[in-house]
Amino acid sequence: MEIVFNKLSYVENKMSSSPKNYLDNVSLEIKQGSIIGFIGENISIIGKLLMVIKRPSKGELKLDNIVVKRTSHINNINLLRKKMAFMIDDNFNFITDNVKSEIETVMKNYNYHTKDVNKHIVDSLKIVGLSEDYLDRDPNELSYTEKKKVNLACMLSYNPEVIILENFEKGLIARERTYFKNLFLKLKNKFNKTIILLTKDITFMFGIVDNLNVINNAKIVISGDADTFYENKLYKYIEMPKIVEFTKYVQEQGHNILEYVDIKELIKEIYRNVK
Amino acid sequence: MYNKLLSGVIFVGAIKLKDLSYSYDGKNKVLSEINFNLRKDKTLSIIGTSNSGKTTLLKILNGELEYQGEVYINGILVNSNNFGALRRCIAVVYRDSSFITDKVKDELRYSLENINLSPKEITKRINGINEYFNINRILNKAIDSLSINDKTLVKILSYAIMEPSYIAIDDLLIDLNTRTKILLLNYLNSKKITLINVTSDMEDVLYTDYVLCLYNGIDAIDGKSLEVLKNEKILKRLGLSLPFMIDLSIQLELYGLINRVYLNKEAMVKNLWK
Repeated sequence: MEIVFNKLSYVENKMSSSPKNYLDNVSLEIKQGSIIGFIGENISIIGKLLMVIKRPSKGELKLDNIVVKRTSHINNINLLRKKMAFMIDDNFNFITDNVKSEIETVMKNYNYHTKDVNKHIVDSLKIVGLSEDYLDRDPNELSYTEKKKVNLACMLSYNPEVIILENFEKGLIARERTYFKNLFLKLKNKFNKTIILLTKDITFMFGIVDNLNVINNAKIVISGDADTFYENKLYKYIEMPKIVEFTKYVQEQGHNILEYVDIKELIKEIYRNVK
Repeated sequence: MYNKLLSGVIFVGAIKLKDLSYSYDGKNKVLSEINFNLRKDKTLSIIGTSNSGKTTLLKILNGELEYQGEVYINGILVNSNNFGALRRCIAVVYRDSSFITDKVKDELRYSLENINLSPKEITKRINGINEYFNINRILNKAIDSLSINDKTLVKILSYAIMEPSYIAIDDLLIDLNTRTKILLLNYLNSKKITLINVTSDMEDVLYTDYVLCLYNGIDAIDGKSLEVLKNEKILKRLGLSLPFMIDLSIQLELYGLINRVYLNKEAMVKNLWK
């Protein structure tokens, strides 16, 4: 799905004495089959706009050839939403009392049909790293990270084109983070999915995003590719990760080392430089 | 009677877990035979893989589950008679703990009213918090309208303001920015509230004195934070990472470039490029 923000603004409480500006005259384009990261203030609104839960106050949002404006009527909005999936931060509401029927319900709701439903459900679980043992478990009784994984399995089960994840990395340990980063790359490369990461942790984007956008004061202040991670202006708006801080410090001390976002590469670089 | 009991021992006791086991369904053990001692003045991080029983352990400390084994809070064995009194010494903040009221000030007040403080003391404590964290800008705001950082801070403060002996936090510090995090840790320290922090961010482990690492309900490794973090092989096999500076130190040590663990970058760089 081609996503285009065209001079889009979003303001909440517009008529009140203290309106809250979320997005101000933002233009951007997201091509199908890419991983896009957003970081900064109030980025959750991007997910809500894309899912057409909220409408732009000004400007327009184009989803393929459907134009979403403040008042425009959209035919078959359910078909539009079916193409997308949005995981809201910390919001895991499960309808049923076991994982299997939960995924089944989601597939039914989104009118997704397949020959072998059981196999499809098991596959959806396996792709997020959960075994068949989870089929009979109550999703409400699972731990935080397991809920997150089941939620992702539900989202993947109806095969959306665009996957929007808010603060997905939260609570995951290092191994799981690597697993999901690889999964996202696979979804992008093999199945041509668009993945939109709304996050506060820039290290989760290292090595996977095609494009990174920083939102500050309702504007996109920085937009760039993976090379942006070492730009000084980026860290005016967000916290500097340790590896960047260290490399920059070494460079300040007059030692010429290359910039890496992977610790193993950094160590090799230090070794080459010191020896 | 309980008040006397509390005032006598509140600052001396420790948390002690002895052969603590728990199972939700009677078959699979979520926690098995955990033994751990934590002195009152020492803070603790609990780390571990997902589904390793971190939250279950907090639920046991909060008295929500019936367990096998012994739990000592403030040095006293918890039983059904003294449970109510000892329960007050420990506050547990969960990820899904909800807010009761709409406004920040009301939320803080609600907590204090629950422990029966006088209006004068309530005002004093709220003012104290307000001054320390400089939260005047949000004090009269609706909780719903706050940013995640502020919301999390309010959630933790609504427990910390009761000044329990221990505060156990279930992976909430990751929602705070570094400045607020340090401020909060200093606050807890100044009020002599011992922190028990469940965390998925390994950098946070460096803030606490001790660490307990769980794996499938088993105590995989525990001890002083730095000592545990040096066990690179065990932690990495469990799928955990190390804090950046420690990871870097250990790797560079393997290359023979340095000979100890450095926690600050200045000293390390000085030593590397002699």
